[in-house]
Amino acid sequence: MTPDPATTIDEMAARWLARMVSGHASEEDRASLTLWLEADSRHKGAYMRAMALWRMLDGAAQAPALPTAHAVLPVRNRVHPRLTRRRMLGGAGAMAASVAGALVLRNYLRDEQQILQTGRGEVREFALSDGSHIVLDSGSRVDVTMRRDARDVALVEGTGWFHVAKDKTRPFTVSANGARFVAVGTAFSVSREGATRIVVSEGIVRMTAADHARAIDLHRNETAMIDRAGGLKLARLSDDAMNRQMAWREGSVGLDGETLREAADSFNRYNRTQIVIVDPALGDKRVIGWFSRGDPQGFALAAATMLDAKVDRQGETIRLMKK
Amino acid sequence: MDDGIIAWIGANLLPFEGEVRRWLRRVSKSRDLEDDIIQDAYCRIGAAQDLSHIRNGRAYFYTVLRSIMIERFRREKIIKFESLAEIESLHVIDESPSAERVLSGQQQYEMVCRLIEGLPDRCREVFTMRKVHQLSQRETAERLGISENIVEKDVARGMKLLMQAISDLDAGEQQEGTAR
Repeated sequence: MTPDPATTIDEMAARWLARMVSGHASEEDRASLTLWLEADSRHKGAYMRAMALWRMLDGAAQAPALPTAHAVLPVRNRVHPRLTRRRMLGGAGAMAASVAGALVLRNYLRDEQQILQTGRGEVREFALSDGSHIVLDSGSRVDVTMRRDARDVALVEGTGWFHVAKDKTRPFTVSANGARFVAVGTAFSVSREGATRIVVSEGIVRMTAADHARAIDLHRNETAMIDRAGGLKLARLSDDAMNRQMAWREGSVGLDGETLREAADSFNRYNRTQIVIVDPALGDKRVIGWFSRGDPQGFALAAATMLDAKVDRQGETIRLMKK
Repeated sequence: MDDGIIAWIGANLLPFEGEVRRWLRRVSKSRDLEDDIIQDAYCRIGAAQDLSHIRNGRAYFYTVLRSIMIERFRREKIIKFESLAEIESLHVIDESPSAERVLSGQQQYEMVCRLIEGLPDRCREVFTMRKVHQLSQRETAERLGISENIVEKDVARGMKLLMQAISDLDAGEQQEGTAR
């Protein structure tokens, strides 16, 4: 890429960006880009600006989430009201209204595509144009494609709960780590934090695991876990266990014999403040109880009492260790 | 370069660049210098480790610019009295309550859509495929029936136009315009 003398820095930055996002950038391209960037701090600034702009434009793929009070605010330290059918319908109405007033650009869409995501410490409800709802846990992302004959949701990261509007002509499929979960009208959650896990809270979901040819129907209160090696475990959950599985939607963590390590991971995904388990043996101990996810300190103190350990907090790090 | 930082800059600084530039133009009175300083600011901010604790991107933008300008004035020893006074007055700008300005999701969405809609014809189609539909360059080329090379050229051309558009943007107006 050799510039003529009249080429501005912004023009060069734009060309470099176009090359790097083209999907065809070679090692040679990368090396010359590095040279160009190192040559002048203004080049770096202009390229940074171009990348930020390119990234910002991804906002066009995502119609804004519903401005309902519980959807916009992070639920940290706050009890999240249960999602009622009425609220869901209200949400869908608001979505329809905002879509009606939306921009010309939407008219370009044949298949409607959206990326929905949440940041750390944020649990949020999204309404889809078909009347379905998705609640995303902290640090999660789904890519949604609405087609004439199918509704496809790819769980890219984290955990989502899906309440599916009935539409027999368009199956609603959630895919995660190669496994596929198909629902017609039902509610279930899928997570891919380590193992891929599905919990069905209403109706029936048909599951096809990546390496299993046969589909399995999962009913209400049933759960399946597919580990990284492709191993499949099925279980039936008590109502209590179901509530614990769904606790994240209300900003809580329900623990019933999970290891301290698993519990700490769950808090760490949600909070800036990180819990570090200093002694590995401590990480294998089991913990019980209901906790607010936005309060890692409270959890650490309770866990320390349970396990006869001690807590040492420094800034954003909470260390748990043997006494 | 960290993707989180890039996303943060896109959401928190770019919408205010037009406003920041107008201020800068008043102080520096030179378009070349203005571009230099803006690029310098992005370069420094892009090198930051973590920006997630900064709630007010606009105020942060001004703070970085202020330190760059003060350094430059010192180095070049061309201290214009009124410029320094303007720079000092920035303390007032970023501490006032009205400085707590962040675009809502709806406003960001509309701003981005408007930027793409403002592009000339084929550029707009290419950006619609790439950004609204999130298609790859290859898929974009297939759908529009053009070569990948042309898609890449249009991305470069569109980006250049958008980089210009963003420097003239007025996020404040955007906010007032869409406020309910």
